[in-house]
Amino acid sequence: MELLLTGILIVIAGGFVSAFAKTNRFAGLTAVMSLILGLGIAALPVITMLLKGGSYKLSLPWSMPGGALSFGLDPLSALFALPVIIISPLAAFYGTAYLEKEHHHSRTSWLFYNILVASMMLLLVSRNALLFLVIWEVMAVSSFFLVVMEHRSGEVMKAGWIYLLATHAGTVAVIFLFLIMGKTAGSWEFERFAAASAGSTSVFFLAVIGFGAKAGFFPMHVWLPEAHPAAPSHVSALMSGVMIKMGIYGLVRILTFCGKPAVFWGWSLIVIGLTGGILGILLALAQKDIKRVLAYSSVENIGIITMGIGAGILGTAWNNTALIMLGYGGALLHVINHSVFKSLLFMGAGSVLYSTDTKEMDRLGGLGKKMKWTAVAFLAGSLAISGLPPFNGFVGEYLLFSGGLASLNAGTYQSASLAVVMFIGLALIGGLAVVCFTRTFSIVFLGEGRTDDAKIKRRLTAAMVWPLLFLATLTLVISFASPWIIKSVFLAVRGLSPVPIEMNYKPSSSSLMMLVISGAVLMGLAGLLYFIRRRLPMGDVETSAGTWDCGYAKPDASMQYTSSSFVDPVIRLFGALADRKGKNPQVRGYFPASTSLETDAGDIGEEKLYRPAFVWLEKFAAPLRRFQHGHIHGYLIYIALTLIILLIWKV
Amino acid sequence: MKLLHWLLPISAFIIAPIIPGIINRVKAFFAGRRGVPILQLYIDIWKLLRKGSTYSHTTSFVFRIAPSVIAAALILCTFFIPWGSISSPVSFSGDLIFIAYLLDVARYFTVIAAMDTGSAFEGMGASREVQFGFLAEPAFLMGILVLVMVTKNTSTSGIMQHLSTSVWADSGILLILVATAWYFLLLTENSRIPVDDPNTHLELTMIHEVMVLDYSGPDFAYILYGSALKLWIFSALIVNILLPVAALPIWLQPIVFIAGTAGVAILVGITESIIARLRLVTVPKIIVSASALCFIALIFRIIG
Repeated sequence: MELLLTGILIVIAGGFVSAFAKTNRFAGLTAVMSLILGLGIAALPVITMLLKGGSYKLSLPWSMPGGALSFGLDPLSALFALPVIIISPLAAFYGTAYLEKEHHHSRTSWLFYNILVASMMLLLVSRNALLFLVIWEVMAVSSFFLVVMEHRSGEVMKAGWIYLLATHAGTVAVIFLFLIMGKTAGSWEFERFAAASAGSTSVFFLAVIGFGAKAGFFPMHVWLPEAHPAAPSHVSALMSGVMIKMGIYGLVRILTFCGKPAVFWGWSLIVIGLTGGILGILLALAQKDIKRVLAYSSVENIGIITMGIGAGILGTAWNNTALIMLGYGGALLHVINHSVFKSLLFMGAGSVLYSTDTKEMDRLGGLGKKMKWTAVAFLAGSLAISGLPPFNGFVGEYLLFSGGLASLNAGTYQSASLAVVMFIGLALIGGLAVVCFTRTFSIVFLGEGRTDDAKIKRRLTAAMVWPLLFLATLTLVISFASPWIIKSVFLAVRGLSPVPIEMNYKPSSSSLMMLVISGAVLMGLAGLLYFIRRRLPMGDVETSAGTWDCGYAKPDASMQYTSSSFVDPVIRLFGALADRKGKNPQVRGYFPASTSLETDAGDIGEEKLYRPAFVWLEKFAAPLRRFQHGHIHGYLIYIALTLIILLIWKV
Repeated sequence: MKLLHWLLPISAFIIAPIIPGIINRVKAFFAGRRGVPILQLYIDIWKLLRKGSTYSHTTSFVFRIAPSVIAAALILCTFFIPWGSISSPVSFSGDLIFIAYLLDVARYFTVIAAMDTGSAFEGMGASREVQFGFLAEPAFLMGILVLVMVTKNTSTSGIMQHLSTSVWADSGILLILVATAWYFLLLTENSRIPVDDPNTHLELTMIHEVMVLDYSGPDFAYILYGSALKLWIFSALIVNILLPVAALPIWLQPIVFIAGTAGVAILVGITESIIARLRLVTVPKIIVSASALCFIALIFRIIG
């Protein structure tokens, strides 16, 4: 435990040193070195915990009334710490090169970066509600400063405010949550919470709202597609890959205090997950900005994770051990998987933005030939996020499917319905993810450049390629190591179940082993076929020609399919769910004059829910505005009045 | 005994290219032609394997590795397909889900290879392919769920072994629903009429064929072979569900199974001959109705 805290202190210290560094380069290097050193030290107890299990505790006095510096580590915290430890240094390393472009103020940004990383680690080990809240707030504020790093643009500031508002709306729910729990338990210590708030529905739903806002549950996801594109890419990688998982952590941590859950909790989470999953990926399809696509796809993946947690809750409620293990296990494994491939994809998008200055997919194309290794890594990431074997995304989804199969054993209507919902939901989400990522990868990296923007303006440095390749390898490594990784995941799941689960639960290990072997055979077979193909008598005889154009005399790069035309048939099927507004051009006559097309993909949550709500709120709140008149003596009177009222009330 | 199981995929590799031949023969019969030799695909593949290849300037590494990946994914699928009660050499719980995702891998690479050529026609095909693909996914997976519920088994071989006559008597109608739905999928996924026309010569109307327009030589041979295997996989699944192969004596099973697969091929040929091609906008309805059939089967199973 002390090792872990030492590591975190090193990270914070590194942040302060880099803030006062003379040059940007030195600041970046200090930050990266401190992250590697600090998280490397912190990794030791985390990995031991994941292999051996158990729990550590450490409590220090704190001057805050009711608060205490209580820290603890168990397999659940350790599992969520793993993405922080892996992704943060890589994203920082990438960031040092990424920021060299034009940021004169990148030095201070490293302070916030390191504080964000440290706060995530501290959040995972804090075992006191007040401490948790303070760290939760530090995390929100430091990430806000990172989002608005390029604050000269109005768009970025707007995104930042939306994020700050959304995350604080969530924090309000978290504060209420802890107030209720603290009042019933009579203490702010987590270990007292467990007994006090068992089976409380209000606690559960406050947790869903409060932590769901951070994780990006539908319809509280609206900040993701604003904040992720606005933030510098290494920050979006860290936020989307790692930080939103803290919301998931908060939710499952609260679940450990809730005792035996009610059946409808599980169903609510399944419904939330399903809506988020399907709408998230649909809205991703409607986007043209590559980083917005990735942000919406995070909403989708959080949806998958939520479905898994819902299945785990139902398993607990029905006493179905296999469902507990596979539901929670699939969800937690997907947490790790998503952190790997989503940060990979965000950094890939960052490289595209860095070298072409645009993230508008329809302006790009053919980058695969100019930045080959980035394209290879991005391809691996997009295969993984589409849940295709032999990459890691498939393993998580396979566990969830197996959970659906396991729930059939119970033989009741409800358990069969769960299987049906999981199968249809995952199938639809998986199918749409294939649409989304064939599109994203091929529009950006394949074909010919659609406009002049697709020309390389800045060359990528090695520091921007290696982290991607490392993460791409990691997607395969996690997949092939899954029969062993799953043991640690199950260790964490055991902590989530209120009833003890026997240590030797491993029916899925043998299937995972078969998956690993099949995955290896698939790669070997593809390699072998390619080798044979080159060795054929004429296998290496190649002629080069233009693409077949049906005899048309003047093919042009602008005739290629675009990101919008590619998904148009799919979007049309869903009608109003992923509505695109815009002006359609009128084409008249045989020689039409030049015309233009404008489309804009709206967000159903924003348009149907928040805009009406905020319009109403404004109408309601407008009369209150006269109380805020800007005269300082007026405000002094308010303070005096409040004090007098409080005094009278107390007496 | 062990060897027998490994014989299944190996014989499938040898037999698979006959199926398109049978379909073509049936179509020729209906059209009053003599038709191409039944073994034409072997001849084509053999010829293509000995040729050099042409690549477009536009293409990148994706276009070159795609045929090998596609063929590998479909070859791997074949290892999981049992013949009646003779189980496949490899099987594990939920391997049908793995098959579904392997088919997705093949689709994924076909689509990105098509997009790699930068051709508007291939982009069009790719766009249609992903649209139909995502619609087909729920139908396939719901079908799997019905089979699992009916037989209380989770591996493909286990499922097919347990399709006994008593299961048929109990829930035969569900199996027929699933088989019908999967027959729709067979037509969609293998670019058959009424969804797609493998013989069309107008790029604008093609789906699967247009995506592989730019392939030549050994690459094209891989793709043709992969398509034949895909057709085999779907026919084999349907035969396994529909014919009570598992109830027969073991020596008779392979014969009946192969005859059944030929029967599916003939059925496809007849379908192609007597039905006109649908307009593209109506194709999603066909696929969604396949999902609906599986969903109905599920509801029956859960309630009944």
